[in-house]
Amino acid sequence: MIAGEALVIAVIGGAVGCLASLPLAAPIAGGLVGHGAAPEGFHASGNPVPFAIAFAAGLFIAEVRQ
Amino acid sequence: MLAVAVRTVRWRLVSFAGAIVAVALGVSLVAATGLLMASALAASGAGRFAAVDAVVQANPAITVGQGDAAGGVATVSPPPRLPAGLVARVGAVRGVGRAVGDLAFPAVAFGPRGRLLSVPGADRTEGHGWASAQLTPYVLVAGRPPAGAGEVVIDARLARHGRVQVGARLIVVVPAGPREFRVSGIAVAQDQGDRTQTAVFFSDVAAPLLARTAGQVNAVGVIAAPGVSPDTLRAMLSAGLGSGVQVLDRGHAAAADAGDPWAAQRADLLARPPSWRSSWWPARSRSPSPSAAASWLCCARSAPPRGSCGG
Repeated sequence: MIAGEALVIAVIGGAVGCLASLPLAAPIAGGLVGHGAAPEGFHASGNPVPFAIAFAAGLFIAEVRQ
Repeated sequence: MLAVAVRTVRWRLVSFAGAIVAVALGVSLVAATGLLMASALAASGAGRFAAVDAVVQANPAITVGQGDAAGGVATVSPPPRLPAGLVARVGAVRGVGRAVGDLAFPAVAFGPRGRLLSVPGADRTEGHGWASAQLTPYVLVAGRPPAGAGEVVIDARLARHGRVQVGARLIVVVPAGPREFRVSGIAVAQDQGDRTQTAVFFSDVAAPLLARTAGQVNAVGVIAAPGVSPDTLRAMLSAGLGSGVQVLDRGHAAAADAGDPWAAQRADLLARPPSWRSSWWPARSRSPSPSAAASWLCCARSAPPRGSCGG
């Protein structure tokens, strides 16, 4: 039962987190450019791999944590 | 089992919501940093060279020092220019359909009433020879190619935003200085190329003189002969041209675009952020070094100075 609940938490939390990450990455990329750490024109572009990794990490942590 | 979990949730709504928020925040942080890393590591893409199968540029790796003192390899960006004679050599390699010498140089265009021609979303205008148009490809939608030193073909986006028609007169500032040109045609790159730059095309004879790069090209764009795969083409080019040049595939072609100063830098973004050292860390010459400060303290506290002082 707890594992099932953790699964619900992980799926909902992971989906929300993935959706929130793109708007979050844009200002970070902007900040890196602003401080001269990244070249002008650098921006965060969509890529499914980080989403998959983050989602899997959320799932793993939720299931282990319970 | 899931049903029981859902039923009991109603009694623990706050902790349930809290767990979701915690997971969501964690996942968004991991995904956001992962996105940044993926963007930094990603290939530069084709950029303006969307129509090529391969691009030849000068080998940007330079060995520092010589003989026993050889200290490592530095990558210069943008890479040095190539002799224009190389274009014919590339064209002679088997499997090459067309080889086009590409030039990209800053060209700032001013419209009929002295107004700067610019496009929202594009931060620079690059000048090229008309032959470079086929590398994107830019296709004429009005007028004709530039003939002679006094004519230009401009990007359709520039023409639209600057309300410039064929036949209009523009002042274009190029490395050779400001010159007046007549717009002989308007070309459009349909959903191809690099949206952050716009193009002005000069005649192929005039472009190297205006860029002050006579006898040189920035890169050679190569379009494969029919039936030759890009991989085969690249292998033939690498074998036929030797180690003085680097052959890039379409996925990395933007790195050879002299009009895209950021594409090449993106490659070693993670490895060596160039301006961190200068802007964030204090320069060693401006602050006393730790060992100098330690020896000063040591000497100040115990006169006469001991032998170990400053060691």
